[in-house]
This record gives sequence, structure tokens and C-alpha cells, in this order.
Amino acid sequence: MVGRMVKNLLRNSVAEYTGLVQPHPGECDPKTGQLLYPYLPNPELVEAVNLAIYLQRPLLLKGEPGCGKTQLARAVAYELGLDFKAWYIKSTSRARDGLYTYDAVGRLRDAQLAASNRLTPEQYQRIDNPATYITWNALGEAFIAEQPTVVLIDEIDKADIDFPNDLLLELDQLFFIVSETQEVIQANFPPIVVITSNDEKDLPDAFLRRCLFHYVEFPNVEQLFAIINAHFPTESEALVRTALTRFVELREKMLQDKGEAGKKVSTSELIDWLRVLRRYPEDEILSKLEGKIPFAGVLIKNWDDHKRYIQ
Amino acid sequence: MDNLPLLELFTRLREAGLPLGIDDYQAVLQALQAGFGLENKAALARLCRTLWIKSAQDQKLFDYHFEKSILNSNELPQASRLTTVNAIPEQVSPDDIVVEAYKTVRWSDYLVLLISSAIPVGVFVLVFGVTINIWRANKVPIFISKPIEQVEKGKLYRYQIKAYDVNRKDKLTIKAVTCPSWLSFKDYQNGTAVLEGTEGSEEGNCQYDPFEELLNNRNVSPEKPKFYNVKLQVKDEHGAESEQSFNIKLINNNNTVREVSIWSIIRDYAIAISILLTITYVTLGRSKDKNTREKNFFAGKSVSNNKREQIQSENSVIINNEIKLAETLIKTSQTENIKHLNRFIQIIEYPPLSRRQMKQSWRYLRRMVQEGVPTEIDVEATINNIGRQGVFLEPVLVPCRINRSKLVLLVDHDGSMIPFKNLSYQLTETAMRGGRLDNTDIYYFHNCPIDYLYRDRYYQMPETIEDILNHLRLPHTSVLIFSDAGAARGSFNPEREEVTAQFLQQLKQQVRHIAWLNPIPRSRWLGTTAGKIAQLVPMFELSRQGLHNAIAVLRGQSGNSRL
Repeated sequence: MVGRMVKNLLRNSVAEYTGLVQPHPGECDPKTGQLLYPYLPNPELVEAVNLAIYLQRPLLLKGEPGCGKTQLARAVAYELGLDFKAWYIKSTSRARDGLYTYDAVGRLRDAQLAASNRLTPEQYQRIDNPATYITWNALGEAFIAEQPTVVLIDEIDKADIDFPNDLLLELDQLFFIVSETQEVIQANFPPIVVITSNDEKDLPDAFLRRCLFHYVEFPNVEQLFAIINAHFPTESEALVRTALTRFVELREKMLQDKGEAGKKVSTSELIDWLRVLRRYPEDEILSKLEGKIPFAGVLIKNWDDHKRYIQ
Repeated sequence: MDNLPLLELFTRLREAGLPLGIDDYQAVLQALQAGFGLENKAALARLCRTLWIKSAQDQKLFDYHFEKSILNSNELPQASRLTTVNAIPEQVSPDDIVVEAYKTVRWSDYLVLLISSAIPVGVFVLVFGVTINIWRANKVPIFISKPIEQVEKGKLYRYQIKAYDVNRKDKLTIKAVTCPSWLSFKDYQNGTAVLEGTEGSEEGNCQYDPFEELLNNRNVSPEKPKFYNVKLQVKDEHGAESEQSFNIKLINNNNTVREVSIWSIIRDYAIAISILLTITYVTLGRSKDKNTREKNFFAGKSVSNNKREQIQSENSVIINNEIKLAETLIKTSQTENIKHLNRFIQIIEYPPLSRRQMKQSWRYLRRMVQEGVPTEIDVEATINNIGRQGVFLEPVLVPCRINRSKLVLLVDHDGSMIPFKNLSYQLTETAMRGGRLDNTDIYYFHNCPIDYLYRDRYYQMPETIEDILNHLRLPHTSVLIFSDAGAARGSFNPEREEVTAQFLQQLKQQVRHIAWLNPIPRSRWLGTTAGKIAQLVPMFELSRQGLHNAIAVLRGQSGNSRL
């Protein structure tokens, strides 16, 4: 009774996400060893994340490719100090793959080996208990964990059309049943679920109803400036300004020509481009930026676009 | 909790067709209680949008209904306002007010006496010392000229800059840190300088900073004027400096040109008369208005002051209205661009079938076939195998089930199908986007398919029918034809019937499942070409049940049903 009260208290005390806590330059993720980059969200995005945390509903993000939908979940996990589990959906994904995997072949193999008496005594005990052949995947681990976790379900529209509906029970009621062992796994703490979609397919309405939706807009000039300064704090301001001016011009032209639907240069391409530009001496780059855009292959990925905007 | 405008918004959106349920409304209430969305109207709009709107086209619908329902009532569900509305204010009598005022005056009187009599000498000494210090120190030079902040397009701009330093003998240098490229700057070295140039010319000697330009002009639009950023700096010989920065606004000189024509005069008079009429109407109405009285009541004013307030407010209303009249007269003679307000919202739902129903029907069209690399283990088959063979040799692997239905959608376009253009567009769009991108081919034709089918709506990309039929890669392809089959015109056209019968014959040789969707209701088919064609191929009307039955035929599940 007291335990449940304490649990409820803890459930409501997940801190608020502000988007202001950024990793220091050179800081690495303790688990994977990858470099961590700062993430500067829109205030509206921050509001949507806090709303999703409070209402305990998944947050569905749509936006242009390269606008930072996937990075948000990692940034939220970093700021709130929570574990981060990612589930990258493929076109062959099943809903069950996100919860657990049951190694049926391994169990059969062990049974075979046991029949020919080639197993050690510990391995014998393993065979009797089917639960030992279960490995938990992203959502399953999030449910079992002893603290709230941030779960990222990336590119959900890649999978089959029925896939999101298969997840409804798990997201709604926060429990699932392992069919091989008839075990009921109930979530100890509701996970913070962030779902990204590239908008290639329509998602079923029953699934959309359960989620909160936010469209990640392309940042404006000041925000771009802030993002670049956060990524490259030691970069010279003149270079950043000239590069940013050329980038914004290019994007405006693409927006005019292609409208809302076509592929335009995005934030991640800008960051990659700047990373390339800083390897060269500044005056050389500044003089190159006056003419044709240098290293256009980082920004333009299409022969038609190349002909139209670079030449 | 007083959130009736929210309930109104909710019902409006539901009636508009958004799939909202009662728990969506409860979620918004929950979020409001937690403190989200209470700051201003935009925050509330964002909250509702995040919770209720799931696609870009619903967004426009939401904005429209939000303006309508929340704008009508000025009450936002603010926690602070609730307490003031519910509290009963006290009645304050005039005598109390006078007494209180008198009291406060007495207090401040003593304070003033104290300050003025306390430390005169000390203050004097302080001031004396400070002035001596200031007098000795170097003073910062300042700009004393007022900048000219607007320029007309194509006209000359001249700003005489003057700077002043209290230390008379200091030598001043002025320079322009940023200025637009059409201006030239000249420093006369004696504390004056001039900034001049013709707008739009290329001869200025100023530095041009494209980044500042971008920062300042990101919101340039025909309504908002363009700004040029200028920053000047003055320095004296000891290094003290100060800056003056301002923006030069670019204005069109069209504003001064007034078209004088008979129509504009008549228009002005008509507008003036109508405004005068409305003003008299409004002022007459205001004296009986309950609203102002209620507002005064809640603000806690006494009853005796009420009437005075009312008369004052009426007077101010009349004055305001006169000012507004003058403004509108000036505006109407000046404005050339009238924004066309979009008064009609384009909703993409088109009866008799909603998009959602179409999407659901398309999902029903599936043929799950086990194809590909065998990866999944079939436990039952393995066990059977073991039972049969006596030993366990290897597990039985089967491939995953994939949706292998292939759909060819033939759409009749133009002519008698023009009123159904929206429907056909919805049908094609939902077919493509419902996860069937690789498995759907859409072709267009006019009235009846003869020789060619076209990949686009404007008949620019033809393909011969033989080509298409021969290249159907997958077996069990289904063909769905969307056409009125002559039922729209209501007559029997033997030629059309013959051509269509021929085409269907050709089709049946290659394709097993064909269905026909007719947007005209079934009752209108008898006696027209459609009636005859309905005997050759299963034809269904375009309703939820009709589409469902058509898909059932395409899956091969309805046999030869002619319904």
C-alpha cells in the first residue's frame, strides 16, 4: 500500500524538460562512447514534450528529413537523466519485435543437445524454463525498468500499415503478455515514448488518436545561428555568417521552386557542411563562398538540383 | 471549471468531422489543470492543437474554428479570473474615499518635511564633490542630431550628423559601423558628418553586411516595410565612444498619390454616411447596454460613480468613433491592395464516402502470401516432422507473410465525370498513401478505354492497353474501374457499350478479378449504358458498403456475385 503510494508519487515527479541543458563539448555517451551533440529545440516543441510527459501519451513527430526528430529523444533522456532505448523500425518489423524476442531455434537446439547428453547441468536447468530464452527489446526493457525510460520508435511509417495498430494495447494499457510463458509484464513506470514518422504513409486513425502530434518546423535564421554556435563554439563568426547567408539563400530558392513538398536542404546537412568547411583555412573558404557554393555535394543530393542551383 | 468556449470548440470540431472522443476533451482539461496553455490565447491554441490535430489539413480547420469560438467569448479559462468573478466586491462610499485620501496626504507630508529638513549641508557637499569629479574627468561624446528614419523609394536621403563633447577641446572622429550600400558617409573631422545617398543606387561607399541584412529582413513581405540598419560611432581622442543606431524605413511614395475620380468620391461619401449611421445606432444602443454596467460592478466601483462613468465612457466612445471614421476615410482612399479573406474553408471530405472509410476499405484489399527468404520457424510443422521422422533433424522454416495484392485502378476523367473529380482524387490518394505505394498503378481514360490508357490526368503519358496487360508482373492482379459508365448522362449509348464490352473482354483474358465502381446511385442505372455494363462485370455504387463489396470481389471472395 505504502509502496504503491510512493510509486505514484515518483510517477508524477518526473522532472520537466526545458531544452536548456546541453552536453559539454567532447562529452561522450557513457554506454556507447559516441560523442554527444547539443540539441536546441523550439519552445513549442519543449511544450509538446512536457505535455506528453504529463499526460503519459506518446508524442508523434513529423517533419522534414534532417530536422532533428530522432535527436530529440536522446536530448530528452540526457537532460532528464533517464535511460534511452531506441527501436529502429524496418519494413519487416512486427509489433512483437519491439517487446521481446523468443529464441525458439536455440531452445530446440538445446533440447537436441540434451537428448544426446552433451549439456552441462546448468544448461539442463535452463531448458526447462522457457523464460531464459526470452530477450527483452526496447519497449519490453522500458516496461521492466525501475525508473522511467525514454523510448524512441523511429520511422514508424516504414512498417506495414497494420503495425501501429498492433502497438495500441501496449501503449494504451502499458502491459503485454509473453505468449510463450503466459507472463504478464506490466510497466512499473510509464515510459516517455517518442515516435517519428517521415509521412510517407498515412497512419491509422485509431493510433493517431492515442498520440500527441507535433510538426517540427525548420528553424529560422536566429535559431540556425544558435544551433551552429552550439555545435562549433570555436568557429570564427565571419565564416559562420557568410556560410549561413549562402545556406539561407539556397533554401529560399528551393522553397520557391519546389514548394512545401520537395526535398530542401536541411539542418543536418548544414551542420555537416560547416564541419567540412572548417577544415580549410578561413580566408580560402571565405573567398570560395563568394562564388559557387563549395563542397556542394554535402548539401545537394540530386543532379537536377545541382544543375539548377550550383551551375 | 468555466471552460464553455472550449466545449464549444470541441463540438464544432467534432461536427466538422474530426474523430475526437470524450477522453480527448478530458485530456485537455487535465493539461489545463496542470498549468499548460494558460498564459495566453496562443498557448491555449497550441495545447488544443497538439492534442486534437493529427495532420496538416486538419490544422486549417482548427484555426478557423478556434478563432470563431474562442474569439466570441473573451473568457479564457484562467485560474486568476475565476476568483475575481466569484468574489463579491464591497461597496465603497464616497466619504471613505475622501478620508483615505486625506490620510495618505498627511503621511507623505511628514516624509517630505523630513527629507527637506534632514541633511541639506551633507547633500550640498556631496553634489559639490561629484561635480568637481565630473568636471575633471573626460566626458563621453554623444550624438545630438536626431536621425532621419525613413526614406522614399528612389529619393535622396541626407542626414546631417552632429556630435558633441562636453570637453570642448577634444577632437572627435565619427565613423559608420554599418550602413546600407546605397549611402555614402563623410566625416568632416570637426564633430559633424553627413550620411547621404539616393535610395537604390549602387554608388555608396558604405560597407554592406549581408548577414545583418538577412537578420533584419527575414520578415519582408508586401505589407511589412523593409528596414535598413545603420550604426554610427563617435570617438574622442581619449578613447571614450558612443553609438547611435537606427533603422531607415523604406516607404512607398504611392501613399501620397491619391486617385481622384468620381467613383472614389461617391465611395467615400457612401462610407462616411454608413459609418455615421452605425455610430448613432451604437451610441443609442450603448446607453441601454448591460455589459458596461456589469464590468463596472465587478471592478468594484460604487453605484454613485456608475452614472458618471457611463457618461464618460459614452463620450469616449463617440470620440473614438470619430477618430476611427477619420482613419478609415484616409485608409480607403489610400489602400490599393485589398486582402481577399478566405471566407470558405476547403474541407476535403466529400460524401457519400469519407476518406477514413476509403482507407479502411483499401486496407481490406490484401492477399497475404508467404514469399521470400524462409526466416520464421513454424513450430507446429517442426513438431509434426519430428513425430514423423522420430528424430529432430532441423526446424522447418517458412517465409514471412507479405501483402502481395496488386491493384490497377482505372479512372474515368473529364466529361461526365467532372462533378466527381474530388471523389476520384480522394480515391487515388487514399489508395496510394494507404501503404500501397508499390502495389498500385493508376491509369486515366476518357469515357471508355480505347487503345490507350494514360498515366496522368491530362492525357500526356499514353500507354497501350496491350502493353499494360502484358506487363502485369504479378499474378492475381485486381482491376478496379471507377467510371459512371454513361449513367450520368442518363441515356443508352450502344457504341459506348460495345467499346466497353470489348475492353472488358480483353481484360478478362489476363485478369481474374475485375470490379466496377459507379459514383451514380444504383437506382439511376436502369435504362442507361451502365445497366448493360452491369451485366458484364460486377458493378457497385460508391458507398461504404459498395466499396467494401467491390474489394471483396477483388479479393476473389464473393464469387460471381452480381450485386
